Amino acid sequence: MRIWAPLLFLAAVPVVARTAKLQIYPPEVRLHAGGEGQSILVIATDEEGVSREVTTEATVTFRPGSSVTFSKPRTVRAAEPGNSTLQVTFDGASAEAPVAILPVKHRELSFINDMVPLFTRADCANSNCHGSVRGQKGFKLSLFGSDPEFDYEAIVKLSDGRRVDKANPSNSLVLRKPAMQVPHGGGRRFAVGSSDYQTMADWLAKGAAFDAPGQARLRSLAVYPPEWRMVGLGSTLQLVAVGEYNDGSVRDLTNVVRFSSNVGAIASVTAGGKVAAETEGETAIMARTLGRAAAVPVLVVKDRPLRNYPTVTENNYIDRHVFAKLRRINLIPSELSTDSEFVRRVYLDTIGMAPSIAEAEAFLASKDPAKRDKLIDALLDRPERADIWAMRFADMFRAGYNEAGQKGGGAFGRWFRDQVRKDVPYDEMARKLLVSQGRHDHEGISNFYFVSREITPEESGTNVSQLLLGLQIECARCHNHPFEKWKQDDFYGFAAFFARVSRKDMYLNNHNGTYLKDAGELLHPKTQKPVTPKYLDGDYEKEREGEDVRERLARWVTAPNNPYFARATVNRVWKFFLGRGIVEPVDDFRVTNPPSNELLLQALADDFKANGYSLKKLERSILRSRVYQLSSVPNETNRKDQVNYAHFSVRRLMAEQIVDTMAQVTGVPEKFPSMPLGTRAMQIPVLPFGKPSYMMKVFGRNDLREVICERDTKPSVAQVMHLVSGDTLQHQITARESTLDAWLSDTKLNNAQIVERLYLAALTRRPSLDETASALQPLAAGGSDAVLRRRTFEDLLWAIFNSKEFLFHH
Amino acid sequence: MRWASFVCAIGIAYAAIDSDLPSPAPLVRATFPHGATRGATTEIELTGDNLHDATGVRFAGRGVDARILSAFGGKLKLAVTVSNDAEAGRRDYRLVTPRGEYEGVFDIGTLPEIREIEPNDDWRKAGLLPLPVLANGTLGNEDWDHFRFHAAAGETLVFDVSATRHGSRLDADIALLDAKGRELAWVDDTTIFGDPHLEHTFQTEGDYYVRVGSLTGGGDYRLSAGRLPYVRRALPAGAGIGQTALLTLRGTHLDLVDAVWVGDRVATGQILKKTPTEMSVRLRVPAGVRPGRYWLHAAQKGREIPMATEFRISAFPEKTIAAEPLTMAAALSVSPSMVLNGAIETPKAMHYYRFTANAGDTYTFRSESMKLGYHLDPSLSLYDAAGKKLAYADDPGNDDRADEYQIDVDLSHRFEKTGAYYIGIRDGMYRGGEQLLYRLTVEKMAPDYILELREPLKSVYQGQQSTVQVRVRRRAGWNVPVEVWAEGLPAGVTVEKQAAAPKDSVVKDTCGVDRTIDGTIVLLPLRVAEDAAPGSFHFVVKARGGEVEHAAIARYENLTAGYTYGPMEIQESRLTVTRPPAVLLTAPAAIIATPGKPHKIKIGIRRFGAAKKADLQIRAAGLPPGAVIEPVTAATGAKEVELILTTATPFANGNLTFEAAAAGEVIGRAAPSALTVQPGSSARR
Repeated sequence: MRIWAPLLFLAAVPVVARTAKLQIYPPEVRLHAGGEGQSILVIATDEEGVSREVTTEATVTFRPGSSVTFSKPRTVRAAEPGNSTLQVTFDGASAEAPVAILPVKHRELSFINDMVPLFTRADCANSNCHGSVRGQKGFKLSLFGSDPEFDYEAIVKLSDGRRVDKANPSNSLVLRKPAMQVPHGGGRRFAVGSSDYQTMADWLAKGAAFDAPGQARLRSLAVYPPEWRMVGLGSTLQLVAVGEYNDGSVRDLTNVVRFSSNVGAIASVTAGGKVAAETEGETAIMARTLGRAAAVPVLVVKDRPLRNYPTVTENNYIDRHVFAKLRRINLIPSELSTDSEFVRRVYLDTIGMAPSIAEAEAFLASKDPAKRDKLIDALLDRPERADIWAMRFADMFRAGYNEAGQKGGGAFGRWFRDQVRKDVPYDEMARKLLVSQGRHDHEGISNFYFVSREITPEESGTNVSQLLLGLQIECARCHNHPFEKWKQDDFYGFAAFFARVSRKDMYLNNHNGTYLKDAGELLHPKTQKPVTPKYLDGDYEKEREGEDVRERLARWVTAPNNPYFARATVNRVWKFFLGRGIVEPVDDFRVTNPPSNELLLQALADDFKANGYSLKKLERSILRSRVYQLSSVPNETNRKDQVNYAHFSVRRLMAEQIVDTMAQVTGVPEKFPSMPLGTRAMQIPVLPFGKPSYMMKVFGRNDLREVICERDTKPSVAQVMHLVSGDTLQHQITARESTLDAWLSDTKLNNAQIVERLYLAALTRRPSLDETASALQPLAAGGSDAVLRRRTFEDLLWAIFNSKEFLFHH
Repeated sequence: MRWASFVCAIGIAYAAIDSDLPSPAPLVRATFPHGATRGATTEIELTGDNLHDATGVRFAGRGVDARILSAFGGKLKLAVTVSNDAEAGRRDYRLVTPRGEYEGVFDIGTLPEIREIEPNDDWRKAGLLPLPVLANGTLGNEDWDHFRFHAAAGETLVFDVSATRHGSRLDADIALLDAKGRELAWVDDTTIFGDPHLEHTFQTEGDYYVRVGSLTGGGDYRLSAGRLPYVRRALPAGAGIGQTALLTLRGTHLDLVDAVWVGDRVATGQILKKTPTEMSVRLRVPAGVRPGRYWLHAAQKGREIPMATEFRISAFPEKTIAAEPLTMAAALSVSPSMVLNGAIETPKAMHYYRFTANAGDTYTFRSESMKLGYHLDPSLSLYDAAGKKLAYADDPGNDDRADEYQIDVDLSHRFEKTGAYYIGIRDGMYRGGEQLLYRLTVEKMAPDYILELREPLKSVYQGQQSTVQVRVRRRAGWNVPVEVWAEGLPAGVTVEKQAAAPKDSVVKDTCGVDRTIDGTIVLLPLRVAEDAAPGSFHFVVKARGGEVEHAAIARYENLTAGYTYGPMEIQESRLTVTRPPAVLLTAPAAIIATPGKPHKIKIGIRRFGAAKKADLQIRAAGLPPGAVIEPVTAATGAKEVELILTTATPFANGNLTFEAAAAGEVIGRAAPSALTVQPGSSARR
């Protein structure tokens, strides 16, 4: 019986739960004496874990409270500098937060801090308006206000300064257009007399000046609450934004930032930061201003928590975090996979092929309660495991790109295979990759940098950040990153670590290598001055005499306290086995693309580090988890889940897994161009140039890995057609001296037993009685026509190989 | 960058009297087997162009002779006899025809030799490898050769493929498979040439397989296998004339070695100590030995696998480091001029040498590693006594593949102040390891240049205008122009003297990128009068700059049969003048016919000069009895004709030659064709 069935109705039972906990946001309230004040949120969480804002309902006091006041709905103000404590009580619960009252800060009207955010908030500076690459109607602003100097130039100086009328400021185009006092393609952005209108009018009236040197710049942006589960459609939440400036000042930016929802259909947000639950699902609410961004992950669930949520067995910490999340969103995990499903899945994932008949039968027959763990351990020691890992790395690091071809790429693939066989810690592998040099065809690792023809610092910086840190910083090559904190200086600072990395022609035919030039520097495109290496979100670095600065970079990348490396790595590894990254795309970690399960991601990263960056141990943890071993059959609660791992994700197998399993089933080795007969597809990290394998190609294996991307795992018509009538399948099922031939000529095997063997070999399960009868139907008339008999089994093989059950991971 | 394209991009001016006129020179495209064993006569087949009327083959050195057995189409068969005491290893040979000469390379072995037998693509169909042995094989497209052998438990066997280093185009790899065909080991590009070398210790006794394959194309190979001594490196990699050097050899099965010597026994070593992996040898180089390139031999009862690396004999004192001089404080003091021998064993290491120079002195620091066959990519740094870097040199420039490895770098420096200095050498890619061995010549020298003849074997037609390519390389700051000319030319042939400015040539490769050449390319305009005397002539290219005159060194140029490099062993440059052909006929090398059935034969026709406007009669001469081919007339402009062979039942195998006649006079002949009866035919003889 499925455990979730009797529980569904419980969700509808009305509940009155008491408040169990109160929280205050921001956790530390900071504001300036005599200023605009700071918005706060008081959050009450009931006994069942459901939270709601009770700021206006709570009792708010301060200790000492002589100069601090609270104005509903949610503003704290102070008259004198000092410290205080905010105390709130509600429904029998209470909470406190420190209040830091900073000295009075007289805020002048600022182009940077008032005008630029205004353009972002009014959607003028977004990517489909004046913030687009080419701007709009000749007026170009920086994307989301990332470059105030650029914006000032555009507004005040360009187009002969026609956008600003200093003699008659209220006649300025920059004011009249968004207010629709003159025709404006972008429509009305604010009304005449609105606060935004007035802000701009005031700035124009004061001479439309740029800020004085030393004007404070926004250093960080935070939005509260940091994450939220909205219970009930239509429920709402107010967000509060807080900015810190580089002069130490703070400001309530709730009405300054531009809020937007990643998926508005799940949760919408108003300009003032009020979020409304629309439909069940997950999204993130982003807040942007002055090139800074922050995101609040938001879950929307329709009902209150299931009161009798079933107890689900947890094998390890992975289950703990995944199941906790599932419980929060009222999803019950699917049941444990059957032994048959599990053994096929784990073989395909660890060694790239389904189990042989003998292997499958041995596992299925075993009564050992620990047989799954034991099988996982045994598979992790199989030499074929290194092949599938080498393939994953070959894809990831684009082995064989450029002239590296099959020789260099093959050497690169063999290097990975060797590292995996020795279980070399991944941090050590990364350090070796980062400092690699050598002949591409001889020292395989040296191909790491050979993914751009002339190995430029910019390309290397892009690749390293994307592949090892999961960060896409390339946008910042041309302009400050629109969604993230990366500035152009960050990009070039990081790229400068690779300023001396270059390619050299060597000797004989087509040989070349990666090496460090004796001297080299990277010039900033704007200043044309040499750039000093700079860690991402970190300090500057200096290359010492006789030193390879990449060694310092390698230590930084792989340091346990590096915020990116371990998380990016475990996210990729997780995707290999679960089909979807906790952050997706796996190489796009950013504030505005939060993980679907932060606790899980961090726990995996912590485990990875604690286990010495061992891929094998990480793999073991994942494979042993119940989450990995869940059935792919969904239940009523989790049918729509695609991001929380409530059931195993059904997905198409890799081309190599399909071909190698076919060959194993039939006993007919597949011949690949330029490779000797008997070579498995998974053993070919690089296909020969100009000799693609059609089967591999249509199933997503590129012979030229030209861009950093993952394989195309989508089904296509070409795949179907190739399986229906292509050479590969025809060869596999019709070739002579195959396993099928051996079975057909074995007088000890009857037809039903052969059907069973084919099912076991290809699908790792025995056929049902109906399936056997259906398969043997052509032979039902009796007779011993050998041709008909063989054709019948060929047809069965064809049907099995074309089935989703064979082609998909499930 | 693809070198082949780069070679094309050099764009040598070559103006023929008829733009369609092909080169008359012989060209060997393939050789099989590409070597022969000592004490035996071996049949060798050369395949290429213009080989059919070869008159002789002569080998460099002593103990190898060849006799021409037959010539059909583009194939030439030789019987190569190697004496019992001929030096093993690669050596040059020269193929002589009336229309020119070809310089090729050939390997002399010491092991019993076999040839692979197809089909052996599948390990289950592997041929037997009776160890120790040298197996000759050829790989085509989608071709793998498997050999089966037996190994004892704990036995270490050596597998060494020689291909590119003896002139094959094959970029081979080798794999070892267990009894079930599972890969135990795989290697590619072990040597600097790209040839693979594998040593493996077998855990259990049994049958195993070795597979020779290639990721990049076909060609021939020579696989040596067995429990044989193999020397991976010799430090020092050279010795001075009249000096005694203490060599340390590293390798496998060195305890089996019973003799060590250099070249054709120009110097003999005394084995002082040996273990399976290392041996010490005292080598005395007698006075009178010619400086230059040699092979070092280490043999067991006369059997050896030739080393992949060269040994040099120099005219300078030599010194070998005892420990790596890794800091300036630990620098080894040297007194120019001398040769320093070392190996960068430690990754990222630089070796420092300290010397004293006087103001105004010019020193040249010449590194060699890849030229010797080792893996170091040398880069040189020059420092003053305070550690300030004065000069740095890495790769000297790109060159075509026929050249020596051009990333062995030279650095020349003129010192402004008298004092102590340091020269540092490291790997350009900061690697370290056993194979990163070098020779660093520190030479106090006057500015000089090297003159290289890149087309030492030149075939031209009467009336033709052509060029002779020469390279001028400057050393030690040579900065004045050099005049280049040729001597020894026959009457009617002139070469225009040219001046080489002191500026490296820059050529565009096919990627459109400028490539700087190490030196100046000089194309000497060559004019051949229509009445110039036909024949073969020895000529010499010389140059003079200031007071310095040099004769050119003859070097390989774009040798299509493989990746050999460096100066030719046979230094005699020759110019061959021939009459331009009227007609060139292309006939099949082999015609296989079924008795009683007509057989169509296509003959290609290329006409030159007056023959372009003539009707030609195409006919066969020398037909064996029972075979008939009726002549056919090829009208003006026809580029191919089809002749019908009719045969009696039975008829005999034999040779025939197709001819082109105009006005009754034979004006062109194809290379002979072999006529044979269809195998399996009842009329087979």
